[in-house]
Amino acid sequence: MFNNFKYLVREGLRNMWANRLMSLASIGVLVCCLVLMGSAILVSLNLNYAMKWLENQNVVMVFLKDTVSSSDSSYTRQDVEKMILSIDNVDPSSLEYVSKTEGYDALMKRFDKNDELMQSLGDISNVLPNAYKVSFKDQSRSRYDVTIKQLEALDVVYTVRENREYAQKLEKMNETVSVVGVWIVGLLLVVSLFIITNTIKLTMYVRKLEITIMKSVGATDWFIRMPFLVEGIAIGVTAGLISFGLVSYIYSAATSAIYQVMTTGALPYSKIFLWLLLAFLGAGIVSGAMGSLVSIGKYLKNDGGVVGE
Amino acid sequence: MIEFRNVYKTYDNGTKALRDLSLRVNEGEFVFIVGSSGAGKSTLLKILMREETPNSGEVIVNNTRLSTLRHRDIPYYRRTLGMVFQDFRLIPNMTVFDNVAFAMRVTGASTKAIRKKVPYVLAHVGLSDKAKCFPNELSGGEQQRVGLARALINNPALIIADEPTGNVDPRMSFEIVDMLNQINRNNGTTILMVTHEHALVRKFRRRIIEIQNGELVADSGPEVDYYV
Ligand SMILES: Nc1ncnc2c1ncn2[C@@H]1O[C@H](COP(=O)(O)OP(=O)(O)O)[C@@H](O)[C@H]1O
Ligand SMILES: [Mg+2]
Repeated sequence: MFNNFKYLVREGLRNMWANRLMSLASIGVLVCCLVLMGSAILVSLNLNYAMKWLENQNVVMVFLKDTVSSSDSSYTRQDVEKMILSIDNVDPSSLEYVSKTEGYDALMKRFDKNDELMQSLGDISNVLPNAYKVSFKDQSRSRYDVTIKQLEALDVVYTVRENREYAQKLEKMNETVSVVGVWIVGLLLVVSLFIITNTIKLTMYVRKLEITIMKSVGATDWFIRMPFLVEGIAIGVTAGLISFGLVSYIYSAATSAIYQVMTTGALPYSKIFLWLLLAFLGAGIVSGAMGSLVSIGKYLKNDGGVVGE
Repeated sequence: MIEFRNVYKTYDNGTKALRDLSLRVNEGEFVFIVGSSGAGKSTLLKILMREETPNSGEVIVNNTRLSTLRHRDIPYYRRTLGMVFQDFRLIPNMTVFDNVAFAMRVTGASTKAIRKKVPYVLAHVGLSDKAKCFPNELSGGEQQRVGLARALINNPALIIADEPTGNVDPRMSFEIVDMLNQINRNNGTTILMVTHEHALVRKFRRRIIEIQNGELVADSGPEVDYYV
């Protein structure tokens, strides 16, 4: 049996090479499918990740009017803090002052100071208003929204930046990505099915002769199927590995870009690469194997020869 | 060895290929099956190979009633037969060696056994020096000898040949039938051969069965009858 196994695997790989045009077409189509599907899933996962991150932050930035922080203002810092703490949902222990310069430094940390864009902006250290970082005691939806409104209503407050707003935007984006992704993948599946079945039809004449001969010398259905299965799986594995390489490359390029502009960061590659590899290999193997089994199935049902049918 | 009992075969399109055909072939016989084109000769062989099933009647080969064979039994039944076809049916992208070895491989034979047996059978049909060739590098006669080697490789008790000399030049035709004749004489292998070539039939003087319009019209009678 092991003898046969080795032989059948070799035979499958040989077939893959003998039909290399069809193999290449199938691999190409599968790679397109897998890369697009994988990218859509990764974008979606990252949006989810960013959403969770933002929601867990529980930090609201309260920016003060410029007039408030100027030296001739009628408000002192104590006045402003009292006003903010008068809203009872604001956690007093969380109150933290962020001066213009601190805000600027924090922003600068995320950009390269020697970046051309940054240099062209010149000195922007005065552009950002002073601000307070606060957290809320009660995070529930209704209480949260009310507290934000109360903060915005304060005389000294210029604007409130809250993460939930971003989280909601991300959620919308996530929905769009999912819907578009499903359509693209669906379309691609139809196209790839069309291409694969047509390429199989083209090479099936030689195969039909082979199957007829195999049957006439007493090969069992599984013996006939095995090389086809191996060929399908080999195509699937190849497509899976290529897709994995491509998506890994795109992902690390994309995430290093994301790290520069978003504090949320991205799902680290080290956390997903194993799943990515397994998913790509799995999807490749399943579709490759299915493709071969389906294309050969109807020739096995018949007891007689299949040449000329 | 082989028995057809009142066999009828009508194809799905209504063609009546065999009508009430009964015949018996004993172990060790060499039978020529003759008849004009479309008479039903290939249908008879296909039923023997279990590629087609009769609409009624019974076919018994080596004590096996073919009607009792299930789909998964068929490969094992076919391994007991050797088959030779007019169009050779060699796998184009396999060498001569691999084409012959293939029939052994499907039975689960070890690589060691294959390496030993295939050269022996190739030598038997005079193709030792062509083992590494591909079918399209061989003449028709040589290709048919590969087919013959493949049919012999599993030591079948019965060889079925459908116009094996149809695509072979006359001199090679004679040699191929002569080989079948030798195999029959030396090993006692039963042989059923469909042919159009009366010169061959006359030359070898073995049993002749004639079929016309799906019916048995002439039979020169059993050569050896163990049942008498
Ligand atoms: N698969 C098939 N479907 C329908 N008709 C067939 C099929 N095979 C053979 N026939 C018909 O059955 C008759 C007998 O064919 P066949 O057994 O091939 O004859 P022979 O081998 O004696 O020339 C012919 O009329 C042929 O056209
Ligand atoms: Mg015929």
